Amino acid sequence: MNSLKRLGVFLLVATLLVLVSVGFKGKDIHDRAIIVGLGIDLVDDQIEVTAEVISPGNGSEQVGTYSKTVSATGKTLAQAVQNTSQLTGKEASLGQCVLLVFGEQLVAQQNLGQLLEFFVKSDSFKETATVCCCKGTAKQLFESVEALSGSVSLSLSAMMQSQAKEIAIPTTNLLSFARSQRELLQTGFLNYVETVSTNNQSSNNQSKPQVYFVYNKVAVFAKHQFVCLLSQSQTVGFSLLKNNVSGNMFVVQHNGNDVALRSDQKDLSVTFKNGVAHFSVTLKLQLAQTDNFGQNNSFVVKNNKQIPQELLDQVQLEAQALANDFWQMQTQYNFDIVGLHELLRSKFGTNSNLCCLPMQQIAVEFSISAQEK
Amino acid sequence: MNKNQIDSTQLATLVFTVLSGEKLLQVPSLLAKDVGHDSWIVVLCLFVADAICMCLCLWAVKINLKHRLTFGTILQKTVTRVGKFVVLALFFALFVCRILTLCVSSYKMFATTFDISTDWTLFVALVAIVCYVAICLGFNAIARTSQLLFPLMFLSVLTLLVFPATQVPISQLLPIGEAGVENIAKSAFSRSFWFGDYVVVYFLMEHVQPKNNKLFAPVLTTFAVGALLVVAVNVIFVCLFGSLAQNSAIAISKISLFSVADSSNGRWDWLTLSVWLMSVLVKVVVFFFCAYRCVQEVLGLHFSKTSLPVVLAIALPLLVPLFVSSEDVVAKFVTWCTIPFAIVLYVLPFAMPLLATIANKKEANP
Repeated sequence: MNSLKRLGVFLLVATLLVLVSVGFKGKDIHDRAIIVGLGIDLVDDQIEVTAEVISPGNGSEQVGTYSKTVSATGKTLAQAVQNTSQLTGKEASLGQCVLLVFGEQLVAQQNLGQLLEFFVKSDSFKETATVCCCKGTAKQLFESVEALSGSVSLSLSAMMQSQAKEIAIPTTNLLSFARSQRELLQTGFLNYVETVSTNNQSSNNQSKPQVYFVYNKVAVFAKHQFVCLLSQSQTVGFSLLKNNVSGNMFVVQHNGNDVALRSDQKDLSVTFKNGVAHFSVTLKLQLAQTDNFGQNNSFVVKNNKQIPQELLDQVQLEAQALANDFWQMQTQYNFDIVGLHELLRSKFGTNSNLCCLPMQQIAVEFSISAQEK
Repeated sequence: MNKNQIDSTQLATLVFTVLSGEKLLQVPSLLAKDVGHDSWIVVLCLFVADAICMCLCLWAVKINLKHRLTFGTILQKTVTRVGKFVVLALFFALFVCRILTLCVSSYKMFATTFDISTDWTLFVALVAIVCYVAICLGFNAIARTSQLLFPLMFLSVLTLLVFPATQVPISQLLPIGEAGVENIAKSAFSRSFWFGDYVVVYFLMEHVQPKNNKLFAPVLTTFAVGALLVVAVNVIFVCLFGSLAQNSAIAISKISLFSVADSSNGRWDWLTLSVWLMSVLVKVVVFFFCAYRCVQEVLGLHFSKTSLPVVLAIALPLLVPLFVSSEDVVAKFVTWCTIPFAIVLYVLPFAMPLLATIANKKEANP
């Protein structure tokens, strides 16, 4: 290749590079509002969106806490989200959103179908985002500060995605909830989040109230409409019949004293034979001690027979009562959040009869036992 | 050395690279729309058919080793000039449609996943330039690139699948075959257009050189591994997304979300996704090469240098999305051509060993 050709190739490559840099309009991080949490409320028949936006570049202004909230309203969710962009002057980027919260009024009055569709059909929104509803408005929730970490979205999402499974609270994500509302009996649940005020003061956000989150109740939905709210004990009963959820704590009486037993593990099997669904739950219990809270502590030294049979029997009775209480609610309001219809589907296939088979018509037997781990 | 010559190991890695492409992009959702959670059965059936056809093609390659006739020459010597024209024209249409859909879906995935707005004309121009350079350098360069990228791509797909696989409720696949044999067969027939990637072998007929006398073993091994990964993607996708699977256009980017489900520390799945996306580019280049060879064989021309007008002619249909929805156009075109495409993809291979034998005999005794 002579030098003229080399020069020609060099010029061609240089021109192409310029063209490429002009043609690929990547958006700079400063042009984006990276939303980590989104709250949705109903205010005067309008949708109000409250976004928790990561706020980079504050330097020494803040240490550790790095988010701000912005609220906007619109006739539709899409319009409200766009209006947040107008307020911030940046494009709303939903790809990093980890939490979606529906306010109480919205849940009570609005069908969630269209709102869910907005997120589910998005290519960038994570279906794995945690979704829940809250007491009061989502705006109030986002405008508070979580006492231990600061960011409402990141802490609440982390709690519900990892910690909840070990403290007997079933949780859900956008995908599971959206699927539950359109498959089989079309019923599903969302965690119901309440805030508890604290007197702690944050040096970073003195204007915002500091709170803890409590999410030990679940709200039930059918076809995107709110159905009922399960009490705390009914939620515990639900957790007993749910896979991958453990950490139930039972307080029983022994020689006049209260003894706490914790179930870090359980075996759960659901079978369907001769027209009867059979739930078999075996709780594996340990005495609650300082070194076995919250984790599956398989390395804790095992002492044989620490728990008398009498205590195990008490746990069994209590668990049975909790499960029955939950099941009564499930039958009364005709919802299925333990996947009984899914079990029948996998056995007999999908058909219209199954999709509208009421819970009252499914015979169920529980066999709950407790044993020492 | 012939710049298009490749050995069987290179062909094996190329088969793996080419195998996934759109099968991890829009095909899982199309199949979920047809047969729901039985989509993996359709994929499995089509891969078995592909494996059989590929074996027959490799057999034809073995027969052809002595005289090293091109695919076009074999057709001309056996099914006349008209037959050759028809077959190659069908292949040309097939390759152009596949290139178009690959470009559209990878563009879409890139734009939506990484939030980068790209000018389509510039995107197509760059793809065409890469293809032109690749054709200039010869197929050996493409094969070596895929050889180089093979471990990276394999690891990327594996990384994308491992964690989501642990979260799959496998009972979602039950009852197996719920869609019914008829629907599964119908879906396999109508979606066969998206499979049959072994056709690349036709256009390398005279260039494949068995390494250590082994031709079938390496190619079939990588094919089996690639096919298993694609089936796994389908299983994971339908199990995780259920009734929503048909609404999720790009399967792999949806599945990748689950590889970071428990993390709020960013999207490192984007890294593995970007690496895997290179295999789509390699596939586009390979199909571009094949389309180029079709034109070459149809026109009976043997260019001393790569023909720029031919490259432009292949790249021109890629501008279709500027005017109409390419998805609709391709879908309509593929519906019309389902039977002819199915014939060249799944009937022709059964005749290939015989055609290669006859053509080689004619070449030996003109």
